[in-house]
Amino acid sequence: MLGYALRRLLWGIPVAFSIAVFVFSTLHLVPGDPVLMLLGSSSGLFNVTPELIEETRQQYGLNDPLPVQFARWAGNLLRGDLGLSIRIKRPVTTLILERIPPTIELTLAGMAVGTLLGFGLGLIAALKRDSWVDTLCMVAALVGVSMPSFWFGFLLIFLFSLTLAWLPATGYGGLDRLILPAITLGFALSAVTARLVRAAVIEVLAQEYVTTARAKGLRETVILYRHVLKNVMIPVITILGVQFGSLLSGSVIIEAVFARQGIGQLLVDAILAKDFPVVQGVTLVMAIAYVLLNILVDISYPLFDPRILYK
Amino acid sequence: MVLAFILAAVGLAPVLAPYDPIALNTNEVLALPGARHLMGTDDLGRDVFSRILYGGLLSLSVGVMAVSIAGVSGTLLGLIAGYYNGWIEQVIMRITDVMLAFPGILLAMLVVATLGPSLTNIMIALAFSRAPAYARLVRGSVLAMKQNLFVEAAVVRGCTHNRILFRHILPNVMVPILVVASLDVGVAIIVGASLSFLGLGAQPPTPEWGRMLSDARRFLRVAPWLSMFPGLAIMLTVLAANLVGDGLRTALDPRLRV
Repeated sequence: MLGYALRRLLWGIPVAFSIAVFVFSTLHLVPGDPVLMLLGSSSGLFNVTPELIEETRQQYGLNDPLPVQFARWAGNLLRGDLGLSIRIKRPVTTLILERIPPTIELTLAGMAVGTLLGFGLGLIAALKRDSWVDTLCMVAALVGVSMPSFWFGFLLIFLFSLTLAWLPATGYGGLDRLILPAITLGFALSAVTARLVRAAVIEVLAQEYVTTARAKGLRETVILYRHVLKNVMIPVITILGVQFGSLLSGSVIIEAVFARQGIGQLLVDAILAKDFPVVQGVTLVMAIAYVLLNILVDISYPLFDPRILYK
Repeated sequence: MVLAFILAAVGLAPVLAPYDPIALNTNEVLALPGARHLMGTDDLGRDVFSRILYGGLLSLSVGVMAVSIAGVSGTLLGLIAGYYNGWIEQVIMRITDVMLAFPGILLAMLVVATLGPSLTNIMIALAFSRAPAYARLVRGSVLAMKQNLFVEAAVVRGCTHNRILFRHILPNVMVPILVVASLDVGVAIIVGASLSFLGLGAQPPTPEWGRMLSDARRFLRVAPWLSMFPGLAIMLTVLAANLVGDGLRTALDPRLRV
């Protein structure tokens, strides 16, 4: 078990390295001179002299061959140094650390909402299979998948903030500012989860051990808790791991809707301002967090299903 | 049905649209939906209904184009990787591994960051970020398909690699590709609109649905209809695309039924 966990974590290292290479090379294959972009975004294109360009090149080490530049960047990376933001002249690492709490808070809250809602709806739909309840749940799920999350956020703001004035529409801090974004983010997840849970429960209900349990005369609730739910966990955990990624990137959009100063807003602002060190840092951190999480999901399987043995 | 209706409405946008989607009219700013303007006008007096029709043309073509490019290039890479084993397969698969390690729209955002915000670049970004999924899918099918006798027979008959790949293997791996692609169009439309909503796609005054929503945000209190109609348009279009995809999946491959 421990050996397996360690091997999975070690396997993450080459993946993280490839992600770093990928992010670095994507942003350095930019058509056009990065120096002109740097200067253009920070000082306007008017007073750019050849001397200034050369000076900036030296300053950012852009005259070195790409592998050298990468080695330097990766070396700093290992020390937790992601470079300096061009736009606000502050260390990227600090910027990211400042912006992480709102995003984590939103992602976790969205996950909680999405899982509870999705699990509940999926379970009810499966137990009341082919009834109007089932149809209603599945239509709701299909609509949920088809609805752009930012628009759903608009609807919530319109109803709960502007019309009913129950909750604040924007900002960060406090539970009241978390509720609407969390529901928005969780809703899309719940739609996906509900469809999956429904399919998984139906599959488990058709298994022979459920028939056996029924034949033994066990009460339906006991069968549900002891036999069905346990076996439904594996596919659900897997999909939640995958969905965490879409929650993370979904939070980028939700943060824009509710004006939360999270890491997603940092990324969008950086892209619009061509602040490449920040773009590089944020994408890297988000991608590596996602890889780590998937490894954790892999490691957690035996907690839910002892049949899975590690070799 | 719904999809056909949307396609017709959007395809005929230039004929159906009662007004120029980008023409300003300062006399009718933020007009309520009514007989003159079916869905009202925005803060610059532009007719929302006309903008939605033109916007649909953009959203749909971005979605369909992106998925086509991703599907074709991903399929080609998957065919090559599955058919020719060895280093070329390793290279292609490792690259797709890395690309798939990026959560959700992050990869598309990275591409937009590189190329700069525009609707065309969004399309490229979407195509780029979706292609690895097809490559993986196709490679898997090709690996399974190569075990079949008819492929061996083609080899024995002395068919060229190209002929075996495109005449014997490709037709047999098309079904899952089509199913995934049809469901993908809906995803691509939502992601495209999301990126435009964030300001990374269509620039003003282009009538794009996501962009219209982000412009409408400031007027949510005074002119909620500005936010309702583009959102409804996106939802109905994606819903229609999803229904077609689900239907196609059930019709073409009963094994995939969930």
